[in-house]
Amino acid sequence: MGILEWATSPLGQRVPIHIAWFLIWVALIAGLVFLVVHAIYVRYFAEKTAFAADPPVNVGQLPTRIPRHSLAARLFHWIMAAAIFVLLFTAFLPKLGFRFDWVTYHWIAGTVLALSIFFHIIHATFYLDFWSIWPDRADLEDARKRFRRFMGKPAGLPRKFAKYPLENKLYHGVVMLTGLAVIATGIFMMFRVRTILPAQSLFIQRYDLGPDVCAAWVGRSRADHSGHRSCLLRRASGEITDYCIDDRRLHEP
Amino acid sequence: MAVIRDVMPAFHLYQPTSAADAQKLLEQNGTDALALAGGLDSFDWLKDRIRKPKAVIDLGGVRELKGIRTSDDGVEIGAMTTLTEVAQHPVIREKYSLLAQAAELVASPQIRNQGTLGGNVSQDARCWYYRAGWPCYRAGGNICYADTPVGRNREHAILHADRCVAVNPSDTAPALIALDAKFLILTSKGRQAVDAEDYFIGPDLDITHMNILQPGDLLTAIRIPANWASAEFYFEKVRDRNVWDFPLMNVASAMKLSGCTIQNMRLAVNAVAARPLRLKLVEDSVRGKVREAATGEAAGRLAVEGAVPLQFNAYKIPLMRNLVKRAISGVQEAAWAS
Repeated sequence: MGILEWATSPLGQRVPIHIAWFLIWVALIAGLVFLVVHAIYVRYFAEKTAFAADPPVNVGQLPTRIPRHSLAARLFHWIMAAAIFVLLFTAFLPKLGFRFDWVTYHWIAGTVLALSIFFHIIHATFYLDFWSIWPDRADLEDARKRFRRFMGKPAGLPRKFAKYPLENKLYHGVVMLTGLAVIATGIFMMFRVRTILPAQSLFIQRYDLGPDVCAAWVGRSRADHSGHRSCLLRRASGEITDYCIDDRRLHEP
Repeated sequence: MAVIRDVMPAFHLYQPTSAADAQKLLEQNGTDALALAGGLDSFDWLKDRIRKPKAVIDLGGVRELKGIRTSDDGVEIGAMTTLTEVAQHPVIREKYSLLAQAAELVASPQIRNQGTLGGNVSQDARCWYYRAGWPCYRAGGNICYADTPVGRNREHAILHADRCVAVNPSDTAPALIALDAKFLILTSKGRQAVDAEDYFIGPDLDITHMNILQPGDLLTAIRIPANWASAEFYFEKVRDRNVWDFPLMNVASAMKLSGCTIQNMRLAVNAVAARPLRLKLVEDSVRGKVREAATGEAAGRLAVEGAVPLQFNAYKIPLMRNLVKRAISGVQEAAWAS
């Protein structure tokens, strides 16, 4: 049982058609297993995380309300979430036998996702604390301490994280890689779809590269695209799990 | 690939004698089953060894699927009725001559003797990339080989293409749409009647199928109501070889006139998209107008709005414009004023 399904093109090439569809179920089941295991762990096994004492802060100098995320960041989050849900539903419902004009909804949602991520990159780079989402030396040192304490070995208390815990940072990194891969491969897929965007005419214009090259681009993109969307399915279920299960006590002192 | 045109792959052959048994067998075998009517489409797939069904359900022994039953409400034609029987039936020739004309123009006499009405409307696309077994979108792959600058696409779609640019090749389908026919389908949930135009689907809804039949569904009959009996009909098929060929395009219309004014009309074309198209906007635009060249010309222009030609089929746009004009204003008005 292969992970990719292959076929032979009229040009004699072996081309990947798409990932094996059973991987959709693997991704879904992995997501559900994660949800159950995580819920059991949080409910029965997780201990309150202890942190080293914070340096003294003059509370009087702090404003009464400190917004965790700006309005722009929250808008980006929900637009991206809506786009990803539309992408997932329009990608997988046809595979389950639901007939509708899914390609139109899919490319529109993909375009919204790409634009929202482009906005996020600009916004996060120039208007937010860019490095706050990337793991740093303190995260790694504290992760080592937490791991040693989890294993029952002596270690000092980890520091309380700033805006994002290490898990969030790593999760963001994986979602970023998957999201960018889906967008990049999706752009190649757009070459074969008639839309108001000029992608297909660009494909026709660049056909002088050779039909085999173009076919290979699109074929490999589809294989990659279907693979990454299965990863997104798994990660979306993880995100929902985090959102639905109140695991703040793992992080709060 | 399509290199062995001789020995068919092995399969279990079932020869039911009732529609219920046939439907049950189709349901039991699901996607591994192939329903065999006249065999003119199916045997190509089998002999090319591109389709390898585990079970072939031969409908030739199901008597209730054959024959033409007439009543005051119209006519019901069994799905296994041959095209010759349809074309020669006296009631159909008298009251529904649009269908008789369409059936008579299908392929050759030998094929019409063997081919069935149900098979003709349910046949698969004839795009040669697809028929040759290449992994195109319609075959579950990821590319359309016809929709490229070097693809052979002279016969392909100008309307409603969505990744796949293959067209529906049926001659009887547009006639049945124009006659407001209902397709009767036997499913695991019971009998179902669908409008002719809803029987066909394009690649936007399902890129690997050309009609709504799901595994386990059986087309049993086609019912034509009496509403359009003896109306003013027009059918024209354009093809490369007039003795025997698939359509480059065909048009079918049924019209009710009050003097020279068009009271009501149904109009359909095929071989321009992956499904036969009923041109509702055109029907609405000519209703209440005088049947003349100017009306036909305006309708022809409206019909091709949104058409996108491929590299080698731009001729289909003026062809469709002219066929629609002729269907409305008649052949004698065919010359364009401008």
